[in-house]
Amino acid sequence: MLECVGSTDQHSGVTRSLHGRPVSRRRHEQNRRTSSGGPDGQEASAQAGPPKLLDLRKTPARSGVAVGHLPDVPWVGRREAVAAQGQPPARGDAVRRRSGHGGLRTRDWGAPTSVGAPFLCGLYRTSCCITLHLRIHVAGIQDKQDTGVLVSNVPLLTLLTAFLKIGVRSWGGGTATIYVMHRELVDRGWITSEQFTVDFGLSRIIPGINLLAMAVMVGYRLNGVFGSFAGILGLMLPTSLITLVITLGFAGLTANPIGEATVRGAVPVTAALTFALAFDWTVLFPWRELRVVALMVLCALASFLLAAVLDVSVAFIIVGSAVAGAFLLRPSKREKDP
Amino acid sequence: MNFLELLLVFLKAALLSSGGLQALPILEDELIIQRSVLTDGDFATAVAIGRITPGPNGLFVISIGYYAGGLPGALAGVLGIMIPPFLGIALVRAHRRLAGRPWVEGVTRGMMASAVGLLSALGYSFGAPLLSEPASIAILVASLAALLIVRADVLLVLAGGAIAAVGLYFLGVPLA
Repeated sequence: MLECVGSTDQHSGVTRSLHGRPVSRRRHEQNRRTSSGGPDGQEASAQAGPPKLLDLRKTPARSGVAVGHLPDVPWVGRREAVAAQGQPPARGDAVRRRSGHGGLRTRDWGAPTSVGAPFLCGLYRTSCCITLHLRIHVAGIQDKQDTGVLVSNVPLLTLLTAFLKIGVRSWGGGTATIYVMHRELVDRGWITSEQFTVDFGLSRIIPGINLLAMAVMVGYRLNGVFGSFAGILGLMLPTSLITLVITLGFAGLTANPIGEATVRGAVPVTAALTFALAFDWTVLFPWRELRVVALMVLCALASFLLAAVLDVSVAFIIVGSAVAGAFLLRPSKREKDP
Repeated sequence: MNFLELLLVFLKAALLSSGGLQALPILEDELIIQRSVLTDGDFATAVAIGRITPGPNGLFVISIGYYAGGLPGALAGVLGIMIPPFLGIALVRAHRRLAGRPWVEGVTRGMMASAVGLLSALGYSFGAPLLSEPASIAILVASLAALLIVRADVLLVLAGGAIAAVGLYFLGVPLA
């Protein structure tokens, strides 16, 4: 499938789009996080242009060979990368290790170890191909890119797994979910923290549960409409099942004082999660620009006071600070070319 | 109540609210006051369940659906909260079209700053009632240290909080 729709040249570092045109480069230059990812990133930064977006549909293409590239690929977790580095690329081994990562690496199966695996992989490849053509020719989605999104076309199974993981781990309500989601998505190297805060703000504007909107938005950024379905389903499946189970057995839980104490213990931890995340986000402020940072701290303080003390509507605060930012927080020229 | 009717009620509640808990008064009005299919007790239980479950706030809708219409009602709740978020796609497309201009960068920064403020406000709304009990403050400070300094896993910290709370319960120390 990869060969029929696009090609990747690892050595020149040029990724071709489906129709043979080079994938358009990321417009934003000052994203420091992209250039940190191994030879791929270094190669890109050695060129004159800005670092390019990593397309998961096109890298790494061949089995066996690609094992050597595993550590260079940012979406592979650090632990897996270290594990992969220590071992010679044995073919059968590679297949088994890869098949554990959702659809991403089942796509290039080298030596099949069973009869079922190639059939399933073939089925998956076919479905990927159909999805791709639907996206391009029916939905008209091209490779448009966002500044803070580091990868594109994340395989749907990988995306679904990531959000399932978020859904299962986010005990402690909405704030815990934000925290877990932030860690999961940023640690996988899919989006930057900046992008996360932007989506956080945008999702507040949408009616309904904001975090579900957030899952839809992140999923859409990572793999179009299908990705947004994967995102929201991954988040909702485990949580709604657990909610249903708790609903069925709720009477037994609260009658038990230990159960009640457990629930009470979660409240301060949830508050701590919120503060920790807020602190993590202040690290993202452009600290070299004193004027901008001072204004941003003021803005944060003002939104805190408006929301916590005066109980102003959240949507109003976000729109207000966005408008203020458009006038007061533009990047200055000095910041643009350091 | 049948499936479709419940679904429409939940959709209305989701579309008229921003954030899970704002749907609460709308649902109360629809289901308790106008149709009287639920009691206040059911409602309170559902909200309590929504606080325990993992995932976003607002999943109490699923419990409400279950109380009002059994398993199909719960399904209506799930669908009712899953449909409105897809408006996000339009927002992403609009945002994407404009990305890269200086004023958009400014907007991004403004939203970032307000996100920090709003998140702190959320933490404050959780944390303010805890200030009356020193044991709760201790758990808060300890988990903050674990998260920021040790970078411990969320599940570990939550489990630690729960274990500490159970221990304090046996010692007779009150928690907020």
